[in-house]
Amino acid sequence: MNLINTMIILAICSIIGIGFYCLIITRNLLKLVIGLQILVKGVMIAVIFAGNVQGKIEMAQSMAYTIIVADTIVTVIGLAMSIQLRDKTGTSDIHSISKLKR
Amino acid sequence: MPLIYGLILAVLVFSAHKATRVKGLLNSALWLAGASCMTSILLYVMGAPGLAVIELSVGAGLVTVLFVFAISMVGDELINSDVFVPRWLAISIIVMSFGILAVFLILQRLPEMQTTRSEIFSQLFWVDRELDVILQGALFISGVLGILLLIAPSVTKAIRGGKSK
Repeated sequence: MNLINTMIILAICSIIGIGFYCLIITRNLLKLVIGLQILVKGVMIAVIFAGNVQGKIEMAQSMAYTIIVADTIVTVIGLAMSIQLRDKTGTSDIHSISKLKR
Repeated sequence: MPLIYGLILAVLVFSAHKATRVKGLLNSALWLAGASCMTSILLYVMGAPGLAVIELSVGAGLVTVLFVFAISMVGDELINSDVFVPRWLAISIIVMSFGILAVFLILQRLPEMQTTRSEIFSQLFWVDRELDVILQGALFISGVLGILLLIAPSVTKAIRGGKSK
Protein backbone atom coordinates (compact mmCIF):
# COMPACT_ATOMS: atom_id res chain seq x y z
CA MET A 1 0.00 0.00 0.00
CA ASN A 2 1.29 3.39 -0.97
CA LEU A 3 2.22 5.75 1.87
CA ILE A 4 0.32 8.68 0.35
CA ASN A 5 -2.86 6.60 -0.06
CA THR A 6 -2.61 5.46 3.57
CA MET A 7 -2.17 9.02 4.81
CA ILE A 8 -5.11 10.27 2.75
CA ILE A 9 -7.41 7.46 3.96
CA LEU A 10 -6.44 8.16 7.58
CA ALA A 11 -7.06 11.89 7.11
CA ILE A 12 -10.44 11.27 5.42
CA CYS A 13 -11.60 9.00 8.25
CA SER A 14 -10.34 11.50 10.85
CA ILE A 15 -12.11 14.46 9.22
CA ILE A 16 -15.39 12.57 8.77
CA GLY A 17 -15.09 11.35 12.39
CA ILE A 18 -14.48 14.88 13.68
CA GLY A 19 -17.48 16.20 11.74
CA PHE A 20 -19.71 13.34 12.87
CA TYR A 21 -18.65 13.79 16.49
CA CYS A 22 -19.46 17.50 16.26
CA LEU A 23 -22.89 16.64 14.84
CA ILE A 24 -23.58 14.22 17.71
CA ILE A 25 -22.28 16.27 20.60
CA THR A 26 -23.09 19.92 19.82
CA ARG A 27 -26.29 21.78 20.62
CA ASN A 28 -25.65 25.19 19.07
CA LEU A 29 -27.23 25.30 15.60
CA LEU A 30 -24.39 27.40 14.15
CA LYS A 31 -21.79 24.98 15.49
CA LEU A 32 -23.84 22.14 14.03
CA VAL A 33 -23.56 23.71 10.58
CA ILE A 34 -19.78 23.99 11.07
CA GLY A 35 -19.67 20.27 11.88
CA LEU A 36 -21.69 19.51 8.76
CA GLN A 37 -19.26 21.55 6.66
CA ILE A 38 -16.31 19.57 8.01
CA LEU A 39 -18.12 16.28 7.36
CA VAL A 40 -18.83 17.27 3.76
CA LYS A 41 -15.20 18.33 3.23
CA GLY A 42 -14.10 14.83 4.24
CA VAL A 43 -16.63 13.24 1.92
CA MET A 44 -15.54 15.47 -0.96
CA ILE A 45 -11.88 14.54 -0.50
CA ALA A 46 -12.98 10.88 -0.43
CA VAL A 47 -14.85 11.28 -3.74
CA ILE A 48 -11.84 12.93 -5.41
CA PHE A 49 -9.49 10.29 -3.96
CA ALA A 50 -11.71 7.49 -5.27
CA GLY A 51 -11.85 9.11 -8.70
CA ASN A 52 -8.08 9.55 -8.72
CA VAL A 53 -7.43 5.95 -7.79
CA GLN A 54 -9.89 4.63 -10.39
CA GLY A 55 -8.53 6.92 -13.11
CA LYS A 56 -11.83 8.84 -13.45
CA ILE A 57 -10.80 12.13 -11.85
CA GLU A 58 -12.93 14.21 -14.27
CA MET A 59 -16.12 12.34 -13.35
CA ALA A 60 -15.28 12.69 -9.66
CA GLN A 61 -14.68 16.43 -10.12
CA SER A 62 -18.05 16.97 -11.75
CA MET A 63 -19.73 15.00 -8.94
CA ALA A 64 -17.89 17.03 -6.32
CA TYR A 65 -19.24 20.24 -7.91
CA THR A 66 -22.74 18.99 -7.08
CA ILE A 67 -21.61 18.26 -3.51
CA ILE A 68 -20.30 21.83 -3.12
CA VAL A 69 -23.53 23.36 -4.47
CA ALA A 70 -25.79 21.22 -2.27
CA ASP A 71 -23.57 21.79 0.78
CA THR A 72 -23.61 25.55 0.31
CA ILE A 73 -27.41 25.58 0.02
CA VAL A 74 -27.75 23.46 3.17
CA THR A 75 -25.36 25.79 5.02
CA VAL A 76 -27.26 28.89 3.93
CA ILE A 77 -30.60 27.41 4.99
CA GLY A 78 -29.07 26.33 8.33
CA LEU A 79 -27.71 29.80 9.01
CA ALA A 80 -31.05 31.39 8.11
CA MET A 81 -32.80 28.93 10.43
CA SER A 82 -30.42 29.82 13.25
CA ILE A 83 -31.22 33.50 12.78
CA GLN A 84 -34.95 32.74 12.87
CA LEU A 85 -34.52 30.46 15.89
CA ARG A 86 -32.69 33.19 17.78
CA ASP A 87 -35.33 35.70 16.72
CA LYS A 88 -38.31 33.58 17.78
CA THR A 89 -37.00 31.75 20.87
CA GLY A 90 -34.08 33.89 22.07
CA THR A 91 -31.59 31.01 21.95
CA SER A 92 -29.64 28.98 19.38
CA ASP A 93 -30.23 25.69 21.20
CA ILE A 94 -31.46 22.95 18.88
CA HIS A 95 -33.70 21.67 21.70
CA SER A 96 -35.85 24.74 21.20
CA ILE A 97 -36.25 24.19 17.45
CA SER A 98 -39.65 22.57 18.02
CA LYS A 99 -40.89 25.89 19.38
CA LEU A 100 -40.65 27.38 15.89
CA LYS A 101 -44.00 25.85 14.91
CA ARG A 102 -46.98 28.08 15.45
CA MET B 1 5.85 14.20 -2.31
CA PRO B 2 4.72 12.22 0.79
CA LEU B 3 6.10 15.05 2.94
CA ILE B 4 3.93 17.61 1.15
CA TYR B 5 0.86 15.41 1.46
CA GLY B 6 1.59 14.73 5.12
CA LEU B 7 2.00 18.40 5.91
CA ILE B 8 -1.21 19.40 4.12
CA LEU B 9 -3.22 16.58 5.71
CA ALA B 10 -1.85 17.28 9.21
CA VAL B 11 -2.78 20.97 9.00
CA LEU B 12 -6.18 20.04 7.54
CA VAL B 13 -7.04 17.61 10.35
CA PHE B 14 -5.72 20.06 12.96
CA SER B 15 -7.83 22.91 11.54
CA ALA B 16 -10.94 20.72 11.41
CA HIS B 17 -10.39 19.63 15.02
CA LYS B 18 -9.85 23.20 16.20
CA ALA B 19 -12.97 24.35 14.33
CA THR B 20 -15.12 21.99 16.38
CA ARG B 21 -13.38 22.38 19.75
CA VAL B 22 -12.35 26.04 20.00
CA LYS B 23 -14.44 28.42 22.11
CA GLY B 24 -16.25 31.19 20.31
CA LEU B 25 -18.20 30.82 17.08
CA LEU B 26 -16.13 33.41 15.22
CA ASN B 27 -12.94 31.48 15.97
CA SER B 28 -14.66 28.30 14.77
CA ALA B 29 -15.65 29.99 11.51
CA LEU B 30 -12.05 31.16 10.95
CA TRP B 31 -10.63 27.69 11.64
CA LEU B 32 -13.22 26.31 9.22
CA ALA B 33 -11.97 28.75 6.59
CA GLY B 34 -8.45 27.48 7.25
CA ALA B 35 -9.62 23.89 6.81
CA SER B 36 -11.29 24.91 3.56
CA CYS B 37 -8.03 26.46 2.30
CA MET B 38 -6.11 23.29 3.11
CA THR B 39 -8.82 21.21 1.39
CA SER B 40 -8.46 23.26 -1.77
CA ILE B 41 -4.65 22.88 -1.71
CA LEU B 42 -5.09 19.12 -1.27
CA LEU B 43 -7.56 18.95 -4.16
CA TYR B 44 -5.10 20.87 -6.36
CA VAL B 45 -2.29 18.48 -5.47
CA MET B 46 -4.56 15.48 -6.12
CA GLY B 47 -5.23 16.64 -9.68
CA ALA B 48 -8.51 18.56 -9.45
CA PRO B 49 -7.53 22.23 -9.98
CA GLY B 50 -10.97 23.40 -11.14
CA LEU B 51 -12.63 22.02 -8.05
CA ALA B 52 -9.89 23.53 -5.87
CA VAL B 53 -10.69 27.02 -7.19
CA ILE B 54 -14.43 26.55 -6.53
CA GLU B 55 -13.76 25.16 -3.05
CA LEU B 56 -11.49 28.10 -2.22
CA SER B 57 -13.92 30.73 -3.46
CA VAL B 58 -17.09 29.13 -2.07
CA GLY B 59 -15.79 27.28 1.01
CA ALA B 60 -13.27 29.77 2.28
CA GLY B 61 -14.89 32.90 0.85
CA LEU B 62 -18.66 32.82 0.59
CA VAL B 63 -19.40 30.45 3.47
CA THR B 64 -17.07 32.34 5.85
CA VAL B 65 -18.71 35.65 4.97
CA LEU B 66 -22.14 34.08 5.55
CA PHE B 67 -20.98 32.66 8.89
CA VAL B 68 -19.63 36.03 10.06
CA PHE B 69 -22.91 37.67 8.98
CA ALA B 70 -24.98 35.07 10.85
CA ILE B 71 -22.78 35.20 13.98
CA SER B 72 -23.00 39.00 14.06
CA MET B 73 -26.81 38.71 13.96
CA VAL B 74 -27.22 35.75 16.32
CA GLY B 75 -24.34 36.35 18.73
CA ASP B 76 -22.26 33.89 20.68
CA GLU B 77 -23.88 32.09 23.58
CA LEU B 78 -23.09 29.28 26.00
CA ILE B 79 -25.75 26.55 25.91
CA ASN B 80 -26.28 24.49 29.04
CA SER B 81 -28.96 22.01 27.99
CA ASP B 82 -28.39 18.25 28.01
CA VAL B 83 -26.51 16.43 25.26
CA PHE B 84 -28.39 13.73 23.33
CA VAL B 85 -25.54 11.23 23.57
CA PRO B 86 -22.92 11.02 26.37
CA ARG B 87 -19.46 12.23 25.36
CA TRP B 88 -17.69 8.90 26.01
CA LEU B 89 -20.28 7.01 23.96
CA ALA B 90 -19.93 9.44 21.06
CA ILE B 91 -16.13 9.16 21.06
CA SER B 92 -16.26 5.34 21.21
CA ILE B 93 -18.83 5.17 18.38
CA ILE B 94 -16.70 7.45 16.17
CA VAL B 95 -13.42 5.65 16.91
CA MET B 96 -14.93 2.21 16.37
CA SER B 97 -16.78 3.02 13.14
CA PHE B 98 -14.25 5.20 11.35
CA GLY B 99 -11.20 3.49 12.83
CA ILE B 100 -12.41 0.12 11.55
CA LEU B 101 -13.26 1.72 8.20
CA ALA B 102 -9.75 3.18 7.93
CA VAL B 103 -8.12 -0.15 8.80
CA PHE B 104 -10.24 -1.98 6.19
CA LEU B 105 -9.45 0.58 3.51
CA ILE B 106 -5.73 0.56 4.29
CA LEU B 107 -5.57 -3.24 4.24
CA GLN B 108 -7.17 -3.27 0.78
CA ARG B 109 -4.78 -3.16 -2.14
CA LEU B 110 -5.75 0.10 -3.80
CA PRO B 111 -3.91 1.05 -6.99
CA GLU B 112 -1.50 3.99 -7.05
CA MET B 113 -2.87 7.47 -7.59
CA GLN B 114 -2.87 8.49 -11.23
CA THR B 115 -2.34 11.81 -12.89
CA THR B 116 -3.59 10.88 -16.35
CA ARG B 117 -6.81 12.46 -17.59
CA SER B 118 -9.37 9.96 -18.81
CA GLU B 119 -11.75 12.48 -20.40
CA ILE B 120 -11.90 16.20 -21.00
CA PHE B 121 -13.58 17.83 -18.02
CA SER B 122 -15.55 20.51 -19.87
CA GLN B 123 -17.03 17.93 -22.27
CA LEU B 124 -18.10 15.81 -19.32
CA PHE B 125 -19.46 18.68 -17.25
CA TRP B 126 -21.22 20.85 -19.85
CA VAL B 127 -22.31 18.22 -22.40
CA ASP B 128 -22.63 14.82 -20.74
CA ARG B 129 -24.05 16.16 -17.48
CA GLU B 130 -25.96 19.12 -18.92
CA LEU B 131 -29.21 18.31 -17.12
CA ASP B 132 -27.38 18.01 -13.81
CA VAL B 133 -25.82 21.44 -14.29
CA ILE B 134 -29.24 22.98 -15.05
CA LEU B 135 -30.66 21.30 -11.94
CA GLN B 136 -27.75 22.66 -9.88
CA GLY B 137 -28.56 26.15 -11.11
CA ALA B 138 -32.21 25.68 -10.15
CA LEU B 139 -31.12 24.38 -6.74
CA PHE B 140 -28.91 27.42 -6.21
CA ILE B 141 -31.72 29.84 -7.13
CA SER B 142 -34.19 28.03 -4.85
CA GLY B 143 -31.63 28.22 -2.04
CA VAL B 144 -31.23 31.96 -2.49
CA LEU B 145 -35.02 32.42 -2.51
CA GLY B 146 -35.24 30.22 0.60
CA ILE B 147 -32.76 32.29 2.55
CA LEU B 148 -34.47 35.51 1.46
CA LEU B 149 -37.82 34.20 2.72
CA LEU B 150 -36.33 32.94 5.98
CA ILE B 151 -34.15 35.92 6.76
CA ALA B 152 -36.35 38.78 5.55
CA PRO B 153 -38.54 39.33 8.67
CA SER B 154 -35.67 39.55 11.15
CA VAL B 155 -33.57 41.77 8.87
CA THR B 156 -36.41 44.21 8.27
CA LYS B 157 -37.11 44.22 12.01
CA ALA B 158 -33.46 44.94 12.77
CA ILE B 159 -33.40 47.78 10.20
CA ARG B 160 -36.62 49.28 11.59
CA GLY B 161 -35.31 48.94 15.13
CA GLY B 162 -32.13 50.73 14.15
CA LYS B 163 -34.06 53.53 12.48
CA SER B 164 -36.42 54.05 15.41
CA LYS B 165 -33.45 54.53 17.75
